[in-house]
Amino acid sequence: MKWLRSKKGTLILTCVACALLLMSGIGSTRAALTYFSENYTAQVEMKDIGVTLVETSAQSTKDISSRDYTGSDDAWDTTQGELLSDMLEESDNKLQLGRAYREELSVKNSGTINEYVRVRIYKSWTNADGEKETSLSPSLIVLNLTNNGWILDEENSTEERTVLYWPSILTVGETTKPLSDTLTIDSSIGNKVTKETFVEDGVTKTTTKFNYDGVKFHLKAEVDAVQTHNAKDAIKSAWGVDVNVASDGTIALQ
Amino acid sequence: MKKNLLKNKTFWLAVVASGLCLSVSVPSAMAYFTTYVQAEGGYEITLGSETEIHEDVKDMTKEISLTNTGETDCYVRVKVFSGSQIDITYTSAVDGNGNAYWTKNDDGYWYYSEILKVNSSSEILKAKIEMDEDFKESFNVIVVQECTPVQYHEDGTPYADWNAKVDTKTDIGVQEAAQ
Repeated sequence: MKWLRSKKGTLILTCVACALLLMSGIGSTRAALTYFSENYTAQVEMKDIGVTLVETSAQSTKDISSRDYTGSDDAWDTTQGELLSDMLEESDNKLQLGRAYREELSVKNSGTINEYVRVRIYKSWTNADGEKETSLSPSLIVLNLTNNGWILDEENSTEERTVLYWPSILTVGETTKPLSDTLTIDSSIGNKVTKETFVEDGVTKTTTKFNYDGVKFHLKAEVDAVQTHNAKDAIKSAWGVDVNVASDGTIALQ
Repeated sequence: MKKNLLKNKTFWLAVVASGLCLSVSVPSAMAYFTTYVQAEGGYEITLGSETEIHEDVKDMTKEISLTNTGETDCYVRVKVFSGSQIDITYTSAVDGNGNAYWTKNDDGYWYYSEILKVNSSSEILKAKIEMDEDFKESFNVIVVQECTPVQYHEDGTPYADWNAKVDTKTDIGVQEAAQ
């Protein structure tokens, strides 16, 4: 290590120190420029994302739930509604098994930036105690899909869950085509009975119990939206899905 | 010399300083902008077709009507059983246009034309009983009533599926002589 103490060594160390100083200085300068540029870009492109779930029944078209970024302080404008609230007005407020009720679900871009959207539909049954009724198939809750542009992710869809992607960029203010048109509760649920025969006061009586009296069906829709910038990476990061992005922005599942 | 270098504090100081300067140039991480909404809805299924039969006997004529005591609307039908020595003549109540409420099919059942709504009663079907005097002391006339929940086509048109019927039989016993 004698060379370090020599004049040569001192000169080398001095040069290295100067080089390090220069590098850090240049970096700082770049950071300052980048900071101001990215901040400006963020305000224009990356904020104010918003999405709304829209439902059309026989009665009306309504915005059910929405969540829109307000543009400041990480605050969101949200509304929370309920699906199917007008459904029974078609049938004198009585649920009619087998009837195809009008039920059109679509998605609206209620933000100020373009986005990609997907919808996940969940169907289930609960019994009179509020617990999940596993003996009833969710397929008895028939939400008829329209297939008018929505991509069905068959690999990740089950009897209980349906996953759909809108393949195009949803521009600001635009609403997708409906992913469904009718909702029907299969009438076979009313045919499942248990009969008991007994003798009372010398008289033979038969009573019939409907196995699924008091069960409740549930339909749930979850809508996700993600920025269009860096679409492939954004969708992978947010949704865990690999997609191909065409030149016109159309996405396709890999 | 190499060992001396590794032990030299100045050397290591220079290494750390270089590392810190390099880390300044690493850009900060960025999150993707997303949002989501959800909504849910559903209804309870109410099932339970149940009917009660009412039989009034006047002058050897049974007046039969049914009441819906269940929780859902239903279609109903009845069938009358009797011995071969008994002749029965049926008369159905009619509506304002003269259409009979009860109609007999080839299967021997009398079908009520309208949906029997919850807590409502049907119009009367009369069964006039005729027999020889020898048999009037004691005879059996059994009325069987059946109901089936109203089902609907996709367009909301109601229909009855009698293969899915719920049968509720009347008491089976000896009918007393005419009052």
